[in-house]
Amino acid sequence: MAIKANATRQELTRLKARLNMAKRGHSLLKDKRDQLMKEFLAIVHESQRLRLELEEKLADAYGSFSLARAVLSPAVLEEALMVPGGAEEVSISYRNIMNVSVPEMEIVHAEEEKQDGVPSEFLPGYGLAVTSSDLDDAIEEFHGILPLLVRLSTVERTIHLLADEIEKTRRRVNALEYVLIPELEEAVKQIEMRLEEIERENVSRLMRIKDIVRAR
Amino acid sequence: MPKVAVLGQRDAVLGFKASGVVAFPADNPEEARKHLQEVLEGDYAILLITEEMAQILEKELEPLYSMPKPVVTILPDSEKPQGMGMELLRKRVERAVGADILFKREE
Repeated sequence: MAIKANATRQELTRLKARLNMAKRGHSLLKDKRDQLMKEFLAIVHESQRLRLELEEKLADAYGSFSLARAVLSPAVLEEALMVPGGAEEVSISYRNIMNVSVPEMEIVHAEEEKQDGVPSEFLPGYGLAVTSSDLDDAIEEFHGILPLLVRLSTVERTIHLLADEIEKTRRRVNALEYVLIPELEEAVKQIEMRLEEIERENVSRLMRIKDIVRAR
Repeated sequence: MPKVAVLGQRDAVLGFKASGVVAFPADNPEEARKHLQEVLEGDYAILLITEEMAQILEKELEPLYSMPKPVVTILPDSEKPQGMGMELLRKRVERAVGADILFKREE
């Protein structure tokens, strides 16, 4: 699909301006793509590491939990876990990577813990009399995983967003590089050739007229 | 402040329940869908979901990946981890880079 344009000087200037713009956009987008890729690669390996760590820790936690479940009767366990332990809260802020807004999440510890200045120790919300210490261990393990989970969630979402943006940018770069820029160059060449042709026609016409005038 | 939610089979989410995560136990797909709706309506920053649940709710989860909140994170299963989370990561990398760079290196 070629660009159709009238062979005029005005059109030529317009096309050349467009070609210039396309080239500038192309190099900008290329830079953006490279930078995004750099960020992406840095974070991908972190994510992979975090996920492996999570799988290991979670397996341990599930193991401890099954141990607790084996010791306690289902009724007691159900009862103990009925009371929701104070739900941890998460703060979200957004960071900008090359115009992609990515979330940064962190666990916020409850207010009172901060005020006391005591390092927040996790207290389960169930009675200690009827439950075994296995349950405490399991719950503590689960609680210990939480920061890792939050970090992993942040990183994975960032990867997803960056991947989308990289794909989009790459498409644009390719569209410019392989479609728009060659087409524009082709059109500019065509017009230049046509203009030269018109110029030559003009010259030969003038010479012919001159001959006719002189012959009289 | 937003919270963290976990959605999965009863056995898988119980452990999280007492450790500061809001648990949504679901034993069948209908329940899971209902709970997912609840999570979407509530103020949750992160939705942890077990592999099995993620497979059941695949269609429902799809639009969530590009939403700002909640962030869906797949948990490995308690009994037989299938590496779904890794698989998802690999797919994303492949889409962005155009090649699988993550797992080639390890081989």
